Amino acid sequence: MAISRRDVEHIAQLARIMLSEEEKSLFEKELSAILEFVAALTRLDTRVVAPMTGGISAQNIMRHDEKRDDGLHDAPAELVDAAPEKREGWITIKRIF
Amino acid sequence: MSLNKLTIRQAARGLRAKQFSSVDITTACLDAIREKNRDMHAFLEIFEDDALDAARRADDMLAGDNTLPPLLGIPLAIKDNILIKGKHCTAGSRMLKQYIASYDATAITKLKRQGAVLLGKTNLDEFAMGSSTEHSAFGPTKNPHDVTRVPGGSSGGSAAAVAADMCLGALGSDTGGSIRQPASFCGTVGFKPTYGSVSRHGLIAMASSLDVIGPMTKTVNDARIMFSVIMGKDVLDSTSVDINYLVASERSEDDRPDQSSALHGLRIGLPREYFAQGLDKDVERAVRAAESALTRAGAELIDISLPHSSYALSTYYIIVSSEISANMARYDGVRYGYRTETAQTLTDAYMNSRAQGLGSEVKRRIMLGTYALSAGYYDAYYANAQRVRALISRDFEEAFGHVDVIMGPTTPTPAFLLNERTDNPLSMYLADIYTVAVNMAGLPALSLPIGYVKKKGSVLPIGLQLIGPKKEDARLLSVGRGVEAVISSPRHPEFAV
Repeated sequence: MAISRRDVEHIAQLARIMLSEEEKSLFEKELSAILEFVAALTRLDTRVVAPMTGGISAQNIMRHDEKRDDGLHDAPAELVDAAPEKREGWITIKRIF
Repeated sequence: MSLNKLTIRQAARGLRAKQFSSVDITTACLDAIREKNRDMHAFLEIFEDDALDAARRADDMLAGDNTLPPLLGIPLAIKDNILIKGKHCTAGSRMLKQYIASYDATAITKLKRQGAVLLGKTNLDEFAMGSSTEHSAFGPTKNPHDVTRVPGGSSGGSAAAVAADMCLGALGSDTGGSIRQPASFCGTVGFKPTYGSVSRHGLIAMASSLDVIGPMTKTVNDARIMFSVIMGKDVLDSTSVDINYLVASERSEDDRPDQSSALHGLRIGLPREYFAQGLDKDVERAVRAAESALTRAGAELIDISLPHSSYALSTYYIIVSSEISANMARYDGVRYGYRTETAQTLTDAYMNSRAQGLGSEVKRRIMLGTYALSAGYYDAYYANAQRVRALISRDFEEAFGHVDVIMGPTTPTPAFLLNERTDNPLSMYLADIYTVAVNMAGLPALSLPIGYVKKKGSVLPIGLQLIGPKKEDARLLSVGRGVEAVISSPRHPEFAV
């Protein structure tokens, strides 16, 4: 299944990636080739198969609501520290509009 | 023999017998890195001072006590998508070039608790997406057997570091073959454990339902030793599981005089789909020779079918790309990593930071995954792929009803040339055709070297893949040691017959 340049632009917008004109042409070609390759899947009849949704059979994991020593209690300050721009313990961002 | 060429087992014995110190082995590894890394580019960062400090601490402990943990004082290399507190963790990406980890991965905590010596961080395809290490933002790693060829990927730096004796063992990560395929290309052992048996806490996420950390070593026994240290359920990873692994039997396992006895009466399944079109003739010949040796050792070889094998790669690329598009959303230039200089608004900052910080393969997979998850296409692609994943998993379950392990080539060809496949993403994906199904089913699998082939004047290693039932990692490693004992493949091609 081929995808158009407009599709590429739409996907890039959804994925929040600015693409150059060159990248758009390349992805139009490459993604079409990959989608053609994976189209084999649509030929399998899977209507009666239950999907496998993860690596293990998922169950809820419960624990008591109490403090545990996981060595991460200093992490919040260090996590903020990892941000590229910050001020007084807060992460700064660009204006929204 | 130079100390950097030792196996973990040999080094641990020598340390306890006081034949040499951890500082001696660590220095030998650091010398090997200094000598070889300029050509090989296996390491992105080297912790010379920290490594020697850790080695000295290990030597102090070894001076007093002989009943110490097996990895004490052993110099290891770590794939650069696994967090070590206070050290860079780039994931091979410009996006994380300056990022410093604020905590240790659980696997690292366990290695440190043993007193292992961490030598440095190894190169990888960007965010572990690739099969050749050529997608690293910092340049490719070279194959130690031929520097014009790729080491495989994505754990190519770790595989090359082990193969070139720049360390005694290494950690890699495997999402679709990223431990086994480079192990096969570099002539080392690579073990992908059961999904969840090693905590993913502190492993930079690629595809969370498939990712697992595992050892890359010189022998199967070394892989067993490293795995026994890093495995186990972890409260910091809700998908981690306990497996059938008896630590109490470790000692008897280690010292069993005849490892090949594990092969007697063993039922080995050979999936006919793994010997079909696309398999290199020399690789096939090496695997067939291994079959004969195993039959002579008392194993029974059984022809089996994994009927959905031909759908594995397509299913994998839909699932992996979909999970990637979700996991990579966190790299938005706000919380960590690269932030663009050229943006006025928040949306522009997201779009430009990602455009400038991420490489082409990462963008390609995010785009494919975003498409597969988008309105109108979700059912046709992602939901359908999850159903085929269930069928692929069921194929293995049925096969393990009448065989103990499944065996075949790890890769369809030996190591290919640098730049040979970078222009064609699909040809690159084909390097993982025998490894991806294992990840989708969550099974343990091992690649071990079984010999060499000559290609255009180079002598290149070939890997054999052994696949076991879920959570039977200990049994699989025991079988692997048996296979290793019967098919002794010298680690260096100059010793090849």
